[in-house]
Amino acid sequence: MSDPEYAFPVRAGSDELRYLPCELHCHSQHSDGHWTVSELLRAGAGEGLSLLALTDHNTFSGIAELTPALQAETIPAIPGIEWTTDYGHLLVLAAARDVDWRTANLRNIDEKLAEIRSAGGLCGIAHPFRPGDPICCGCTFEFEVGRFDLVDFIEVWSGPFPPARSECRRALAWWSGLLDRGYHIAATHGRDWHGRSPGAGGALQACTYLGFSNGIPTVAGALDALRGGRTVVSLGPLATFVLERDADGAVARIGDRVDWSGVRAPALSCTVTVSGGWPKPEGGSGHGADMPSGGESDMRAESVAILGRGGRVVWESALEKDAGTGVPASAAGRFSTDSPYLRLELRGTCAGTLRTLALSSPVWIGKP
Amino acid sequence: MGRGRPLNPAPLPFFLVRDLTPQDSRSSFEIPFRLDRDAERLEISFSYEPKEFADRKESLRMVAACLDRSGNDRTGAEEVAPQPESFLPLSNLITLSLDREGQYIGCAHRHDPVQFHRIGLEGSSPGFLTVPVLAGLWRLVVSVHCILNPICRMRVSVVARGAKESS
Repeated sequence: MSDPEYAFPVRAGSDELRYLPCELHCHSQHSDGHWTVSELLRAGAGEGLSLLALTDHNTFSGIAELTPALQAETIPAIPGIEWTTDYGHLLVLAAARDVDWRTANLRNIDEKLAEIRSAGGLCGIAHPFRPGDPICCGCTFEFEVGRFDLVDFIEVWSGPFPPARSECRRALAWWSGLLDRGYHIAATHGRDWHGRSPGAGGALQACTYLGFSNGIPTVAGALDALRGGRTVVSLGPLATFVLERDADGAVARIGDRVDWSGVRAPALSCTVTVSGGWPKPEGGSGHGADMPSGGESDMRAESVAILGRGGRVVWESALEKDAGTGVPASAAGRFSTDSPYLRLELRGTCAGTLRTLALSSPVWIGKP
Repeated sequence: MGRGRPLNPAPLPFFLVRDLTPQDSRSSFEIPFRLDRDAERLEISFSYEPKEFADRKESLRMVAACLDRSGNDRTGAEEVAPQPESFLPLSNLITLSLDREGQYIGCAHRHDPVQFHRIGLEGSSPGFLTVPVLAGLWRLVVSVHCILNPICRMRVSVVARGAKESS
């Protein structure tokens, strides 16, 4: 496999954490995608994405086309592969060597995950509850994973208009259960982008915001964000939150792992910030379906909820309007909790229905 | 690796026909072949037929069973309820992957039932790395993802072009 390190145009960096819209599940003509690698990256840049991952089915032959020149002209891309097996699909990102997907079976998957980890790769579970054979071969995740500590991320959302589809609600509940068991797994969205497809229509797409610690979208920064759990999946708006422990002013953000378990049910202050974020893309996803469609104008964030263990709401609040724009943009409050982690959901109306518009990976504040 | 009769490495060129059945779904088998001299390129022809499963009634039954297994709400009360008809026609899916002496070269994961692939330094087909075609033990792996028809006939041939003199 090619060296996953790439050169990128040097831009002014900063110490400021910045969440940028990315797409971590994309196909090209090297498997069953519509576009060439170049066309895919241009399409990603054209949609306002800051980075994508090339994850062709069972091949990394397209990675050679992720040249520094192309990425400098468009957007950076993580070299990856989608293991497309009969027992589930796995996104393997930036592994320094090939790990053979063909010998994976229901019961040896932990060994395979360990091999991927030792090759420096990240592993994510793709669309775990998508209907499988014979509708979509191997698409339902059946692998008997024991070592979920070797799973870096899970597509809690996938495909077009995720909050409207039950497979995504099941994925979200499954991920939440794994958090309850103490696994530090980041939430992602996978558009499973195959390029233009007749009939896909204008279904509303989601993205994964990755938190780049220096504000610059790079492959290394994206991998660091995934490993560090700095992710927000969203239909558009970017919602983040910061916790502050009242006792001493200690601060924790999305992905942070702090141990505040010394005090039972510590009193916390929470500040949520919502911004307009990623614009609605035009065009389809490659998965034609009669999806609701809508745009930014149709989407209105209204409230936020902080959820803990068992998916229980710890605190919720209506959003305060920004004084300048009049757009709902922030919320703040105080609460205490015994939950070892807290995560954010942004709620509001879209396509005429109240639904989750965005959700974050957790902040870990105690021992599970 | 999977089910199927193990084959001895075949000299090139070879042509293989195999009938696959629903019982072969979710299995794979290897086709090892031996290249005695370096060559300019390999040419792999691969096809299977039929592609589509034409039994509409049985297809709808299988779709319903699949949606049940995936936990779909059978009441149809979902906002975006899967439409069984939208998944038709169901089809067979077989894919090929290739390696040489333990080096993975790639895979043609696509739905076309008729495929032609070139492998070589002059440029390989999408899905396969651009590599020299060196003498040695090569291997095709046929991944039989899903067979719905009682019989699905698969054909694969491999030819080496531009054989080079032994050094």
